[in-house]
Amino acid sequence: MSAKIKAIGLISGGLDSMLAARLMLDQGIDIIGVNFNTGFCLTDHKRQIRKNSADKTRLQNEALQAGAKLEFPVEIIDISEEYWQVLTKPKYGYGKNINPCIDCRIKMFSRAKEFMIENDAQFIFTGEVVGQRPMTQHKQTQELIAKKSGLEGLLLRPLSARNLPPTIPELKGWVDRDKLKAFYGRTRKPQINLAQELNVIEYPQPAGGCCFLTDESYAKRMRDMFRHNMDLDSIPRDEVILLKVGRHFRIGEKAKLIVGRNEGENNFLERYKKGKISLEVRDYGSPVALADANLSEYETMLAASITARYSDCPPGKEAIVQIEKDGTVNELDVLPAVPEDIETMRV
Amino acid sequence: MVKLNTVGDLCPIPIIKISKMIKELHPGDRLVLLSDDPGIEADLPAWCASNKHQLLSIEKQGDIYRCVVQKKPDQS
Ligand code: SF4
Repeated sequence: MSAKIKAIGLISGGLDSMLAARLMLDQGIDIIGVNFNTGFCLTDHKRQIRKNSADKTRLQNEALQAGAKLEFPVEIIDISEEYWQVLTKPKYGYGKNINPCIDCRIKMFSRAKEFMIENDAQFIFTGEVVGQRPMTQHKQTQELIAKKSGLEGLLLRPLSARNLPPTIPELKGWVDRDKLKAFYGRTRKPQINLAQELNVIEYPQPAGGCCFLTDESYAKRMRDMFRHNMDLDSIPRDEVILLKVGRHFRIGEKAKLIVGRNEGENNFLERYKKGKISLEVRDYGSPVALADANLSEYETMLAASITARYSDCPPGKEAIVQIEKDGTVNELDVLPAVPEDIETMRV
Repeated sequence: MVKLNTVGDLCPIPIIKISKMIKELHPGDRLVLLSDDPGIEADLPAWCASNKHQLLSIEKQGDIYRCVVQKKPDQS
């Protein structure tokens, strides 16, 4: 008896990747799901911020849930370190914001190919639908991504396969092309109908954007960081993580202030105090604010005044701001900043 | 029993670490995972179910989750 055909699926945990996985399982293919950690996943970040949420479904990794529901193994692969090069030097440029989608897909598919070889699998599949997303899901782009990641002919998109030239798994008869789909474009109806047909009942609703890099304000902050750092490779990764939270102010050529917007963000910022200056207003409800360690006297005053602006201290009334550096706390009396004066510093 | 301390790591790092470590163990071996990420309550059962490992217990002691996992019998 010949060995079972094995495939690696790129699984986000959304409906499309679940359906693609289900179509493969229904054809008797042995599958392993992979999910990549780039460090820029919006859902992961929401989970980190809502740490104390009582609703456990808001804290779950959807790829793992998909594997548990459809009964196939899922491996999360960490590419966050090597991803920095993809982000700072994308060969195929950025999308609308700072999302290097083509390079990102090439990176993920190349890594998936390695995983395929390591696991004696024969091909890769994804839940992509041709024409669904602007940058990566056009036919030509998909061909480019497959070619650059060394997966030509080995990349199957079960939901759109009959709109695409036959792949090796179809030509060799590992999968039956007639049982694959010909979905095209942005409509979700065919997927929802297929989900009903296959009895895939529980799936997450589309969350609108899968990563921070497609977020306009995050992209603005990232570009500001690129402008103020000559050597992009020397930027500490913690600085990149901190771009995700709070209100950001550029208070000096080399100095930035981050002010938490809610309890979740304040708790998150607390984790990153080390090596920074942290500011909090005494005697009033106060956000947690973090600034770079080497502030000038003027920048320290400015940071304290901006922190006071977002505290419960009434405008025009003096606030006492506690400034902590390396375990030493100093106090500074300041007036809360006037909103119009600091708007130009907002990043 | 092997112990894996992931306190301070945010999701999905604890799962990435346990997944790596379990490959080093023999089938049937047990592993204790420590985590302070509440996401572990949802992620670990799902990871165990999808990979066919057995989740023996999850206990919360203060802010720390102590989880015991048994590697599936036939994983190499
Ligand atoms: S949206 Fe983000 S994760 Fe998705 S392909 Fe683009 S850069 Fe990669």
